[in-house]
Amino acid sequence: MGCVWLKPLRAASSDSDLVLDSASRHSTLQFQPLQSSIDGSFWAKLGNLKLDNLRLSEDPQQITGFSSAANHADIPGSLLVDDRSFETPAPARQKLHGVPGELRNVNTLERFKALHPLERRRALIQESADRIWRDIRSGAAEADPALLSRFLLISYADLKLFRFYYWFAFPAIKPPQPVMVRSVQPMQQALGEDLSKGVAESCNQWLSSGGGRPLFWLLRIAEDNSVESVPLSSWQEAASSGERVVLAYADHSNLQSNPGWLLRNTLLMSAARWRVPDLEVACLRLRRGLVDTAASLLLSVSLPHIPEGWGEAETPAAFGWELNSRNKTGHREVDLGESMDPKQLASAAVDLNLRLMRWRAAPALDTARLAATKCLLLGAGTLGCAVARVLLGWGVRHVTFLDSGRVAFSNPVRQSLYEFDDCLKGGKPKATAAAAALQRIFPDVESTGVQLCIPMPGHPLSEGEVEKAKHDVKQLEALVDAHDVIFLLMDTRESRWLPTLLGAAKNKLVINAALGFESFLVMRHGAAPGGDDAPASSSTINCKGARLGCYFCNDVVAPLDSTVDRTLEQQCTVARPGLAGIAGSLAVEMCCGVIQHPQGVRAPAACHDPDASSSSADSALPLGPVPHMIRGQLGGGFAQLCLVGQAFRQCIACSNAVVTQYREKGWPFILQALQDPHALEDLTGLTELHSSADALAMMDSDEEEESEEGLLAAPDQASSAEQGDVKDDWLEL
Amino acid sequence: METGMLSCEEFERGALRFASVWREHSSTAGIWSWRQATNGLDAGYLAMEGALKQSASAHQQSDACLALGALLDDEDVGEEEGDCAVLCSTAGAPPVHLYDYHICYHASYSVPVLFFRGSSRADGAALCWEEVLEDLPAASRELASTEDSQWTFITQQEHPVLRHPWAAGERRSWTVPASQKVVR
Repeated sequence: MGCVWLKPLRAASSDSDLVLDSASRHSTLQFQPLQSSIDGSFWAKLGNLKLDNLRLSEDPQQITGFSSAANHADIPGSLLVDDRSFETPAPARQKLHGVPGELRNVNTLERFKALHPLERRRALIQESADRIWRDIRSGAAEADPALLSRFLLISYADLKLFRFYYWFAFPAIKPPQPVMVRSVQPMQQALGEDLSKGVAESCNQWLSSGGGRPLFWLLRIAEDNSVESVPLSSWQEAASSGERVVLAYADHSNLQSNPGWLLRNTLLMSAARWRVPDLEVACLRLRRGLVDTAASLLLSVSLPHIPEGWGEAETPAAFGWELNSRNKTGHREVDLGESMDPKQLASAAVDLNLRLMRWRAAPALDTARLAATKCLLLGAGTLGCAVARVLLGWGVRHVTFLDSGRVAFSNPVRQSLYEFDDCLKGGKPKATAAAAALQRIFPDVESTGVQLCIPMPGHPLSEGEVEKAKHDVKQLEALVDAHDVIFLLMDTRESRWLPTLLGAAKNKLVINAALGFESFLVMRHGAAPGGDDAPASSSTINCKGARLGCYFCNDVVAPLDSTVDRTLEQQCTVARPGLAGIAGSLAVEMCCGVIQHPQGVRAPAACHDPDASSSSADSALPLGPVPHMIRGQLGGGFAQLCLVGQAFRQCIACSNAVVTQYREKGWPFILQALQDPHALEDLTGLTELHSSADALAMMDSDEEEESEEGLLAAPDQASSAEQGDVKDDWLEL
Repeated sequence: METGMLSCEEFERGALRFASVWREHSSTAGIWSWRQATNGLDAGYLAMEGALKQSASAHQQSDACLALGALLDDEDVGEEEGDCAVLCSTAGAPPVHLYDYHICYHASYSVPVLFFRGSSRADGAALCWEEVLEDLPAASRELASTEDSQWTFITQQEHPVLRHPWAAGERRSWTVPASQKVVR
């Protein structure tokens, strides 16, 4: 081009307000590096773009960054990239100055690392610098000053883990000699009150009269101190007018004597294109969005002489890779899983929702304790599904289903975790189907399914089955060990015996729910036995202090096969469909009440104490007192009763005698009980009790109905216990 | 008014008045603008977004918590050769935090609620609760740590108007963490 530009007349050069102190006159001008600011929406947009358009392409993408002037004394402006960075044409945004950038996103971490070595990075930044230098020399940068601030962003986006690795470069081409400071002063001081006010007004008007103004423009200051903002491309006209011409820069720097980084290429352009030896720059900083004359700087610099032909053959060296947050040469990385991962969002939302209860309803509620509780659900039928759903509601994260069955065509309408598809091809195993359904509902839950048939007393084992039963018992023992709460949700009475024993022996919280056709029983078992249990004939049952009974405590016979000699509707649990939801919900509420109770599994049963001495203690409980047993029925008027019963000293499942035998002998004891349930009666002394009761019955044959309704239930009545019709001596409250 | 409860209409009137008073007297913090709820059911809310705050400490959370970071940093990537025009005095400057504030009407409690969320300006990562506490004025920090204040406290909560995720039309619709912090 070879144009010779006139040096602008610098009207103020001899004025006293341009202080040229000797200290700053010869010092090298230093620039405050630009800080990148990357909004999470940038990665979300990039993720969509990769899925829909880019796929595996690593072609450079043209993006827009948005630079802002400092608006705060302590905080510099930044270069923002966000979801709007991908819009074309570049969007015009108030107070933001769009600059073009190039995104080079690679597909693997290894390829990202491969961009790190110095030689590779030099080559990359040089590519961007080439374009800047070309635009300076061609004059394109004067027409569009944004081209001077071209930047580069290399990245690797791990869109599965929501982790992002990136590195910005803001190329600054190194001039043959450094730019020297002549003076730097607050604008207000340098230009005086009136003129600086005029400059501020002109700049504010220029900036607000159109979004997306470039970072750089010119101020023409006439003889009468009137100020006009004009685009950079008006340099020639402005300079030849004889007016004072100042380069205006929306400066991201907040420092008192240093301008921002992006000024570098513009100063080089001034030296190379305009060929001026000196230049005044108004570094404009804002307060509350408006140019502030006290915070802005007036900078006077000596520009280097650019020799003819300099940089013609090859672009001069460029710098500008951003340091990381530790101020080291290195990339940056961010983990946005917390705010981007929908699974993490769901998990946090569930917890926050529960913590709402702490506002007023239950201030002492320990939601973390509930979330950490591990629940083992024995049975994945109507009750299992209902219980699992309510556990999710309480934020429980760990649920294991155990069931031996497969999903049948009649199941999905009653068993809320199954769908029609689960029934096809013979049906999926219930335990795993339920576990999978739970994860679809709430991905943060750790749910597993175990297909296993619980060995039952009174179901004789063939020789080949003994080994399998041994293995199953071992697996069940391990499962009980690994969980905090055991839910008994099966459809037979005898299948509850082994888990009841295991729960008692390992001092776990056992919650039991059983359904009849229109009645239900929900209860919790007491803690491990300690030998302080009530004798069977105890007439006064104290609802406080004593160990609470288990499901078998009111039985005086060992469990037998209840499926023999039953019609079809008796073998399947035929129940009113609403019952499982009611009983399942009560079971979980009971469980949560105990977990929140300071005494845990030893929590005394809620009872109506006429002295009301316990009411203050009860009200301190996060979820209030918890009953021992709830019986309800829909048949006779939807009644519901809370009952309490002590542990029975001769119980065939939770008594000290049985638990001690199990702890001492283990599998051989269980095998004996499975093969010959009556051995349990001998062990606990029930056999003896039977014979004495028979003798008693012989004596009082006239009153036999009464006595059978009382303590000594006939075997055929007792075996229907799982129907919720147990004849018992529970204390009614 | 003694109960501190407001009707939805009272809230809107009060909020608009507050915004105009703020505009007259505010410092550099930014301005409040009124946003209508998009569903026509909820009350609108006041918003101030992108308020900057310099962290009190030079603590950097995002780098420290990433195991992979250490793996990459072991690489000798090479230092840039001397560039005398780069100012290095800003080294170790404390990170800048961005805060979004929303004043919403909570229909269940009939009270105004101040929501805020903080993120790192550099990388957009949400601030952890400890970092937020450090940024709070002393009085609010005390409020956040006391368990016994039943009526005024700071806790994490879902946004009552935008719920979650933020309604469409919000630019950062997807970035809203469930970790909304709320001051009642």
